Amino acid sequence: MHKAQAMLADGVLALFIAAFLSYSLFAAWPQSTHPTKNLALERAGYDVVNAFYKDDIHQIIRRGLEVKGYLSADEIKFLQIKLYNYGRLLNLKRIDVEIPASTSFSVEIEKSTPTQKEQFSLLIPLKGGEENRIVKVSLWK
Amino acid sequence: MKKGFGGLLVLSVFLLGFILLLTSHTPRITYKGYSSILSAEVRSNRIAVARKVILESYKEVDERNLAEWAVSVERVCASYGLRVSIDFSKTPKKVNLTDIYTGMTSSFFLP
Repeated sequence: MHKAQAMLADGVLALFIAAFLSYSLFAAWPQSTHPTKNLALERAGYDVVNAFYKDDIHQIIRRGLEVKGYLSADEIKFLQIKLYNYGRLLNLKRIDVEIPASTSFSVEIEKSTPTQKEQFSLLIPLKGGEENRIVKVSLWK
Repeated sequence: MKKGFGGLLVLSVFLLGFILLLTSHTPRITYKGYSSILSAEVRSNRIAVARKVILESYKEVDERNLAEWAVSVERVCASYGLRVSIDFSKTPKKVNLTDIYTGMTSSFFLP
């Protein structure tokens, strides 16, 4: 009898634990599809992507990659200055740029340790779209 | 054995209480509501960014390279959690973006 009661209680407890774990894991599921939910970083992401296309940043990358296949030190320096200004404008701490098959570079805007990061991808077509480079820009706050 | 049973019962009651507390009308509801709005805002921003990338990169693509470009666009959109379909048969070409998490959609024409 006692054994049966204990088994029943075990079963009930297991059900509660399962319900609790399911709730913890899935109740907030739609909200947890994104890591930071920092709207300032999100807006900054849009602005930086826009700057890449509208402020010649992507033209410099495109020209460098089409002509030489890589970015020269001067080109990187120029891009760093441009991105530094955008970083300061958008209150970012650091910007990392990853260009496939080329040099990646970073821009440090503030010395303090960044805690939140969001990554944005943008497309730079080369030679009229024969080659397409997906550039990843990470913004830190 | 009785002690063990009692312990399990107490634990079950605590767990049940905890679950009830979580689901009750407490500030958590407000937090969850706010969190959902925030998530929707983030997802919406991702659609706007993807749309920007598609429109701006399309300007530099020759007609003969549209297939390669479309493949790259799919990869970019996937990184934003979006599904893209481009209808090249229509004039103007039509793009449809769908958020795989929220189902939000955005449709626009290519210039």
